[in-house]
Amino acid sequence: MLNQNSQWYKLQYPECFVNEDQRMIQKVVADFVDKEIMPVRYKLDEDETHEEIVEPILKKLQVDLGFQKTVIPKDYGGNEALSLVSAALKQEQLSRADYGISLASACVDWGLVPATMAYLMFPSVKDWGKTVLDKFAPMFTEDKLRFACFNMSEVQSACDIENNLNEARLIRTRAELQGNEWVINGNKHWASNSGIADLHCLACNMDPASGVKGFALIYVPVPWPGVSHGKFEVKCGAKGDRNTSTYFDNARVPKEWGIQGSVAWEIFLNNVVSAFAMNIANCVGILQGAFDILLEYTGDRVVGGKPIREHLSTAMFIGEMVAAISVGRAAFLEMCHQFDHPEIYGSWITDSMAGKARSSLSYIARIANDLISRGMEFMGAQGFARDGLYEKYYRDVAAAKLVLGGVQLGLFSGCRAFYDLDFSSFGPGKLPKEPATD
Amino acid sequence: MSEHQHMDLFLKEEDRMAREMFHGFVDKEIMPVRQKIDDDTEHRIVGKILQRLTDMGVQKAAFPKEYGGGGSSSVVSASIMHEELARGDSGIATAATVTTWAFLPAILAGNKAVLDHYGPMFCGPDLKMGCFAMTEPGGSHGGGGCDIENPSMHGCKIRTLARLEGDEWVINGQKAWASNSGVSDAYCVLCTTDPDAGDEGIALIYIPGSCKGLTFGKFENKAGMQGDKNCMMYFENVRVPKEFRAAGPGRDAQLFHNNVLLARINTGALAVGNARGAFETVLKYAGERIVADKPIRQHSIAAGILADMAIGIETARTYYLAAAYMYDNPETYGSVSSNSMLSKASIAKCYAADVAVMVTNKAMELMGSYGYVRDYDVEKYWRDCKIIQLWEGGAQLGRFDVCRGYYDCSL
Ligand SMILES: Cc1cc2nc3c(=O)[nH]c(=O)nc-3n(C[C@H](O)[C@H](O)[C@H](O)COP(=O)(O)OP(=O)(O)OC[C@H]3O[C@@H](n4cnc5c(N)ncnc54)[C@H](O)[C@@H]3O)c2cc1C
Ligand SMILES: Cc1cc2nc3c(=O)[nH]c(=O)nc-3n(C[C@H](O)[C@H](O)[C@H](O)COP(=O)(O)OP(=O)(O)OC[C@H]3O[C@@H](n4cnc5c(N)ncnc54)[C@H](O)[C@@H]3O)c2cc1C
Repeated sequence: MLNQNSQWYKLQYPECFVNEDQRMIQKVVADFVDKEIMPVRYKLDEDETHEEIVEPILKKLQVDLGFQKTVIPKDYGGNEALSLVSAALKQEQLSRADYGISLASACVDWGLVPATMAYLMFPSVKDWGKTVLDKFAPMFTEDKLRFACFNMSEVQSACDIENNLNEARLIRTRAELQGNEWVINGNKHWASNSGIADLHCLACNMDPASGVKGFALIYVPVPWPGVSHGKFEVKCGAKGDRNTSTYFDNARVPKEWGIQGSVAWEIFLNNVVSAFAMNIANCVGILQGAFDILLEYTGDRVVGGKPIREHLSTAMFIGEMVAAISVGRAAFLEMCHQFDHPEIYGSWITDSMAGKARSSLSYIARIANDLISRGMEFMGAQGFARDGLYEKYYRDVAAAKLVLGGVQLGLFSGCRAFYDLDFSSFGPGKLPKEPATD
Repeated sequence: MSEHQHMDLFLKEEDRMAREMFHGFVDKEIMPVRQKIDDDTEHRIVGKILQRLTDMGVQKAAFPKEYGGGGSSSVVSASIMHEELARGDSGIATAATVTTWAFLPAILAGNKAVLDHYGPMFCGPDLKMGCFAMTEPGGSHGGGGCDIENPSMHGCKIRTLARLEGDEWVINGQKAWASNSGVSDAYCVLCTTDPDAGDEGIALIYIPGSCKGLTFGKFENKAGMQGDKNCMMYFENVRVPKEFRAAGPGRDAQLFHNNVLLARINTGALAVGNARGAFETVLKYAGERIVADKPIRQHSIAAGILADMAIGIETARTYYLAAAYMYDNPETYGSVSSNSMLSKASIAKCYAADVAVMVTNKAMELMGSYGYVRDYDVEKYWRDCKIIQLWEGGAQLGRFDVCRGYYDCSL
């Protein structure tokens, strides 16, 4: 149970970052997690169709508690709750129980945010936001579980797509304007909620050679003629999230559902960068979940004449975990606070800001992986058993360092805050130069 | 560089041949089905592979020749086989080799009753399974796996009691986690005749799988290593002939600690095999997949990581082989039941297990999301190898045992 009155809590979630409303959201999600997910988390892996456990949980979270409409503007009956601090607090709590469910919920927001951003913050493409929201927001505000997805990765290196230095030149999903329609051809792979999403926000390119100029962000509902899916990936963890390929074969959607050029790219990058902070929160949640199990088990079980955690070799390790959780939490809170205040800290997508978010994620994801792996050693065989619960966190956390371009890209990005490292796919100085304007 | 060039120093000609044979076997029989083993809950695939290994003589290799066995006592040979099999699947490697582990105490003690009873069966053509059961459930009173394996505890935490009644041992207690439990034809069970008697109370007693009073819990659901089966075992007034004790007071304790020590060397080899399976997979993938305009492995950052993997694998292999070689040559390197040998065996295991975890972890990182899915194999090696760190006394006790070779570590 999250005790918001304890001193530990106050130190972990300081008032300068977390306000009363955000605390309330956090508490709602924390209580939900304890009641609805914790008791069944060891069964999630077996729920292959998601019908028995995952979807009922998501229905309660997304529909009954209203998180499905978090980022939908008030004009459309949504909550217009765009604070990244709130979002991160929610993700942290969900990941404490299940990273997959956390991703499934977060990626609904992730898929919808570009339209909301356009509608509320980008006057030049407000119409696009309005058209998309007019058409699709009602779907997400009604009493039915819906999924959205932010679909950018492709079978060929997804890092090449997420590598912003490539300026969208390696996106192979082609969008062509024919009359009043976009005609889309290509394959996407891996997006969270793909295969079950009602709405995809799709990253495409009209002409790879023109880089950002040809970049297009297009909404595509599913089912839709010309859109099909492959089989679901069999992953070793994060099974509360669904991933598959999405094939576009002359899929035609109205022209008004897409935008192109630098503003599309800016919205795309904003969306990607915000996800780094969210994923740090996920890592902290996963760490916390694993830590809670370890703490309890090593307190009860006696080896060498005393509880495992009373041995100083174990205590030292537990101390490392405490430190990582505190540092990771401070990192995502500070970062989300800065994202929430661009008027003070500037644009999200500058090299400094993106570099900070991306490299911090790489760092924390690696630490979380390392600590959860080492923590299993203190649980003996119980750490390896499904019933012991811990091994689930071991499998889940591995995904957290693979998503969003992986560890390497993140660390390279960090360098960009200090020097102009060129880690583009074209090699230093070889990036074809095209004006990045429309 | 030829794959195995460097270690030929430790190998005899027959080891080299066996290595090639197991390598080919794994390529042919295990690699094509390795993705299916996680779902093979009934062990239909695993059972077939184990039967083929039986056909190749693995099951009988260590049994004395007079029973039709191979009479092999070389730890170098055994460890080479562990590595090669684990390159395909470490669960299958475990299931295949634990049988020998279970019978080693009887073989080393020359226990005629046990060998007469089981020798013909295990040296025959059919697949039979053996199990070496020492770990107990433990809990808030202590007595989990490490307390039992810990030589400083002198058997005082063993709760499975063996009482001599006339010509029979009567056994009561519980065992947990032993490999091949629930599917074995014979169990070598670590008991105590008296927990206060120290090492003298330690008894290794052979129990047939069909024995009255022996029951099993449900199979454990694990993160990996599905090729190996584990479950709780309950002994309620289980009765076996008096002669089924491996040797006798004092000597059983030595045989028990010897088995722990040997398993450390062999699981070091197992870990190397597992790491190699992942390394070969990622090396190939990283050679084919183009990221940022060239194959992943042509990026300096990836090359550095691949080099670290290779360094880990080569050094871990060299070390387990050195430890195995020293064990096989006590006339040069001293008694095998010494703290010094335990230390070396534990280094082999602790180091190789850490290498396997590191290698599989990095392999996953280099493969991006493809490292996370069944179709690309690496995630399986990653899940499988984690237990190698945890079993056989875990990471902590393993390290204390390393220290015992250097000072009078009492932990
Ligand atoms: C659970 C899960 C959820 C996901 N959700 C989504 C989603 O919602 N939407 C979506 O679009 N995608 C999603 N993905 C995909 C994910 O974002 C990508 O898989 C990820 O970006 C890595 O791409 P890749 O797997 O193709 O790796 P690759 O691009 O093949 O990269 C392989 C390796 O090369 C390294 N590398 C990359 N670039 C360089 C360079 N310049 N120099 C040196 N090394 C480099 C990488 O770090 C990595 O180690 C998800 C993936 C998972 C596992
Ligand atoms: C797949 C699999 C196969 C197995 N096969 C077999 C088998 O064939 N036969 C068999 O008998 N068992 C087997 N085991 C059990 C295994 O050997 C034990 O799990 C292992 O020895 C650890 O025991 P435990 O799990 O009870 O951990 P515990 O004894 O509870 O130890 C927990 C933690 O405490 C640490 N610790 C231990 N002692 C001390 C100390 N003195 N000071 C400080 N820290 C300490 C340990 O290192 C570990 O980190 C198997 C387990 C698995 C998962």
